Amino acid sequence: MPSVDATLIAEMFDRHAAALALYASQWTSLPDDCVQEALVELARQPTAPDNPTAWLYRVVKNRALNASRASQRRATHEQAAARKCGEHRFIDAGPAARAELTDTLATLDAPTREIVVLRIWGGLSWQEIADVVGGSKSSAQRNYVQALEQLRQHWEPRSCPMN
Amino acid sequence: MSDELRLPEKLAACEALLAAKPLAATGIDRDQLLYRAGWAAGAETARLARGRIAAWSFGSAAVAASLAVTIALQLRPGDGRDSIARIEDPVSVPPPVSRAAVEPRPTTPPGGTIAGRSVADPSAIEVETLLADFATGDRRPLAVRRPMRPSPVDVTQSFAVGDASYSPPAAAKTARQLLEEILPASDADPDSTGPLRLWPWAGLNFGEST
Repeated sequence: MPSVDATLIAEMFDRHAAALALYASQWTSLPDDCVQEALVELARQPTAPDNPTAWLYRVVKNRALNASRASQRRATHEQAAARKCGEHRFIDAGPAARAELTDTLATLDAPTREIVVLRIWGGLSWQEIADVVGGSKSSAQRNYVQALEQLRQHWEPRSCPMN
Repeated sequence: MSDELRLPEKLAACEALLAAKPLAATGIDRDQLLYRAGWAAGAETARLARGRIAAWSFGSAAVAASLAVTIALQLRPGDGRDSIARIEDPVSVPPPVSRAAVEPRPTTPPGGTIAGRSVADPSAIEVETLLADFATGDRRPLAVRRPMRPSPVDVTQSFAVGDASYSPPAAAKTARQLLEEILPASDADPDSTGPLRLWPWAGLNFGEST
């Protein structure tokens, strides 16, 4: 097992930081913090994981869910605007360029949206996606196809959604 | 389904459109992230090294302590049993005795002589002393001369072990009778003016009616 060095951290950051932040934005309003903590946690590992990319997505998801629960507790007391788990929309306080994509993905339900982000921008295999979200590889593929179908129907009236 | 999912043409087009969308850059400072990652990796390595050092130190201390205990046990002077003083019975109770011949241990009488006279036979001095004491009423029990097993040195006892070949008389006798048995007939004369009689009490009555 190769050790975790600065080269691996830099490579993971350059290739997957943005996708990890998009992935974490499904649950928390502070996706950058979750991504940074996940990369630091990777540096603490004595040996590199078998699949660092899948490992990072799992860690980011766990941290994002924890942040979401903490945020809900704060919102209950402070009545601040926070993202609630299970809603079909993103709460993304990041750059404006991300808003259009998040609006597009907001039409999907949470489990399906997660699979789409992992497949399209994370580049994970079907088995890795099944490990992250839980369930079988066939169910992940089935949900992915359903998500693409929903997006096509959502864009169909506009015929060219990216114009 | 295989890992390579075959999508319909329309779904593949939507997939391509989504993949073409650029992702917004994160607000993470790359240099700060790498700095923090390096610190975290070094701290974790130091923590593991401390744990290993502590384990080695504890193991070395345990080995040293066990060696010290082993050496101390080996160098200890004797075991506990040797330190226990053997308490010997200072007074060995002699077996029941009868009034038989007595062979006292040679001892120096008070004053070194008997009635101012020197005696050639040291054992006779003891007998004389004993019988003198007996005459004066110091009737201490007398040990019988009979074969006995060697007993420890008895400093409190006044009499030594007798001759193993001696056989006690059949019946109890008086001191006079014993003297007559021991001494020749000429020595039994109390009025004799010859050589010194060893038994000055020849003229004394010990309960025998005249």
